[in-house]
Amino acid sequence: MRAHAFALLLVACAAQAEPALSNRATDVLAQPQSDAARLAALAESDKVEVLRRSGAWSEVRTGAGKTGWVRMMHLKPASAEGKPDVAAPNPAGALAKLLGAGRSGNTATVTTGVRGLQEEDLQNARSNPVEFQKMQKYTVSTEAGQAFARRSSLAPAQIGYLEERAPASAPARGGEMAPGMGGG
Amino acid sequence: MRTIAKITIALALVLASGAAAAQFGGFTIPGLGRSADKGKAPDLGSLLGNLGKALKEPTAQEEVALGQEFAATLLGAKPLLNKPGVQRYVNTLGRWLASQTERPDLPWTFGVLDDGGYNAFATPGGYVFVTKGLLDRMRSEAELAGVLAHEIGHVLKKHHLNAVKASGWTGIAGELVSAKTGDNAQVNEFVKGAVLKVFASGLDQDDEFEADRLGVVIAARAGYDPFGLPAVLQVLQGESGQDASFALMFKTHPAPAERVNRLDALMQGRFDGLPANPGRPIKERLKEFGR
Repeated sequence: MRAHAFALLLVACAAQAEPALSNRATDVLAQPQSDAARLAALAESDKVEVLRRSGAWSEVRTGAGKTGWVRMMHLKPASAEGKPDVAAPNPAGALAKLLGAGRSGNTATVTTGVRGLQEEDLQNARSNPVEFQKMQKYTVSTEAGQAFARRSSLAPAQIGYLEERAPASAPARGGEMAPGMGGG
Repeated sequence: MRTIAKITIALALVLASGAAAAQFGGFTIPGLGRSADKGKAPDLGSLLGNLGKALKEPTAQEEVALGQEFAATLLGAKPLLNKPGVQRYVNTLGRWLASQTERPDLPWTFGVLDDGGYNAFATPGGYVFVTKGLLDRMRSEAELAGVLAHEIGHVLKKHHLNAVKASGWTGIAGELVSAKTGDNAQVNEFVKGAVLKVFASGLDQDDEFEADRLGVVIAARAGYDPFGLPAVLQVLQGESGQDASFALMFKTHPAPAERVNRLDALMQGRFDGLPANPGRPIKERLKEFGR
């Protein structure tokens, strides 16, 4: 049943192009690399179909029928249209938090979709040491993790952490700092 | 009366030794349990030093003990998904990711909660949870790696621990390591409030942005496409906090669009040269790890 659900999901992903919008003006390139030839330009909020993604790049088909590569971070799902880009997702919740109250009445009335773990569940929760012991039985060793990586051809890489930058400051030019620099 | 005596003894133990034998759940934390000189009375200077330390910075042992209480409470709200193969898979992937960090020796343990909602949680000390609803919606192993790595980032930076440390921590610190999980009323009371604070109200937004920054790097260090986490955040951009399966996650996190934009500004072209390894299909993994 579960495996079946997974299979359906995978088929859906492989077979269907996903509608997306550009979140800024950007280029459609012939290859998934920044120095590739420019095939087309997208304005902000242009509609495209995402065919697949590879790392930093998504292959798209434009409204004019051109196929090429766009930076994946320059896209958003079509269903994100009209949703706020930066504002607090839940001002009532933010206010409640500010006042030190743990609840916002907002979520209580939601009835659509699957009901996930909610604040009430946490409020009513009693410690379950038996279930915790069960969880501990699944812990694996570092060696088991390394063996998993080897048989999966996952090569570890030395990459420094990203340093926080004030949101207002201008972003650095891409490509200046190669991964592997900076330590960590 | 008995409780007061117990607290006094526990506090005295913490003050005198800094740490008792550091053992829980079969794990030993390196660097703990070093204090020798058992029969000797501690001099006032080191006692005060330890007191200051106990008030400021919880030991790794206390951090793990608190995390166990958090985890047991979360599991009281939702049990584990009863699929040993899924639990083994997530533990193995999670352990590989955690071993790429500066805290590889925490008792890292991962669990899939039997919950249709979409969320992920971490506790102090290395206990990490994802819901079944989240796992079902992952489109690649690299996406799952990105989510787990974000949670691992919270643990590395002790975000949850720091969020609850101020609220009565010193009163229970000693009790924590001596009490059995779920067995001490005073600890339970503290944990109940702490769990509500961090899981129902959420962490500071800056902690979430920091966990995102750590998450992409940890996934990349482990050999995965670093754009797995941004891809998950983009999916969330198309979802709504009005949907009950996403409600708690949206309530406790910054807007996904802002998270994507901040990562984009920092990542730029830095990760373009890395292999875009999506990992194996999760469906294949579940066969590999069995039922």
